[in-house]
Amino acid sequence: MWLPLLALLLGFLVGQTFTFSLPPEFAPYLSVAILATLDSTLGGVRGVMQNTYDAAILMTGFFINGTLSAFMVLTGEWIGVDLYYVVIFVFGVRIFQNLAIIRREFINRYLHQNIKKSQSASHEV
Amino acid sequence: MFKKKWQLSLTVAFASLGLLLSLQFSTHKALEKDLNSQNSEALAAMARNLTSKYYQLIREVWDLRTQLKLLEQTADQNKSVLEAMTREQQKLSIAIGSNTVEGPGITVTIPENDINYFGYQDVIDIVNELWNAGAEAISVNGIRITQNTFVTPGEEYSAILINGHKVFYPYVVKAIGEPAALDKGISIPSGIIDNLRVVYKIPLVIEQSEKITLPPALPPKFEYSKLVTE
Repeated sequence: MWLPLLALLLGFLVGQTFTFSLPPEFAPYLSVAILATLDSTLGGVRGVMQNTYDAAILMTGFFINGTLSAFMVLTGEWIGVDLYYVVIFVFGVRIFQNLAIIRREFINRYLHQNIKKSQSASHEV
Repeated sequence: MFKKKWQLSLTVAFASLGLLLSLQFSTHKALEKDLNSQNSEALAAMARNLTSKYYQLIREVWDLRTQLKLLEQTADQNKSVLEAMTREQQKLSIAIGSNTVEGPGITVTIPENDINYFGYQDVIDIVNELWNAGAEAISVNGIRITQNTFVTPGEEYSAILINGHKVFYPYVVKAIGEPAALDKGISIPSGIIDNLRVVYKIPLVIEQSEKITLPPALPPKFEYSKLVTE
């Protein structure tokens, strides 16, 4: 379980060590891409928790969602509609949903299991 | 290493996310520094600051230039004062005989003789005559004559003490000054030299030369004399 978190830290450190940075104009695209990929990874974690994990879905979601969100912002700039906020809204909601599900799964798996063990009774809360 | 099949892909996804995050961090940092992304109020404030700084620096440059001019003037004044002081100091050190001096002058040599007595009074007379003739510096047998030189008779016959040092024949009196004027000044008829030569038959030799070097005397000490300034 700790391996992905370690990978997150490692990726961050690698990025800081090789101080390559994009031109400042790319900042909005990169920020929505990060939202999309954060959603995908949290979805992956959720899948692991719910035992519905599929590596193909995670990988495709990660890269295609990231790219598409960036392109959506670009398209929004072309047609003069702020699709930036749309992307932020959608992925923001999804991130919180994923987090909520992960939280419930976590509680179910670890907290209630301990209670079950100690009380040898199961409750549906 | 990867015990379950989900670990590999999830790890890759997390690593990519970390990479993207750090990329966004550095891009955002660059964006904050970029002038194009600043709003116009911040830019205006920046421009105002820079303008006031610019004028402040210009004022500073002017102040410093004025200061430089003042300092140069003071330095010039100091230089001329220093030159005047140096000249004065040279004059005074010649007068008190604290340095070796050289210049044109005459040499009066009194060789040993059996004809007549030549004593300390005669040395004093010759020195006086030389001062009178316009000598600027005098020495007797290598002892510089200054304002506190004393010439006294020695215990032996025809021995002379100058500043307490015994001197003997031949007496050599050297004086710096205009050689012809000194020569003429001391050899006036019935003057001291003339008397010594003619009356006492002392074989004096007077020699003019272009360059005479006189040794220094010990500089005088002034412990009790104080200048009165009013």
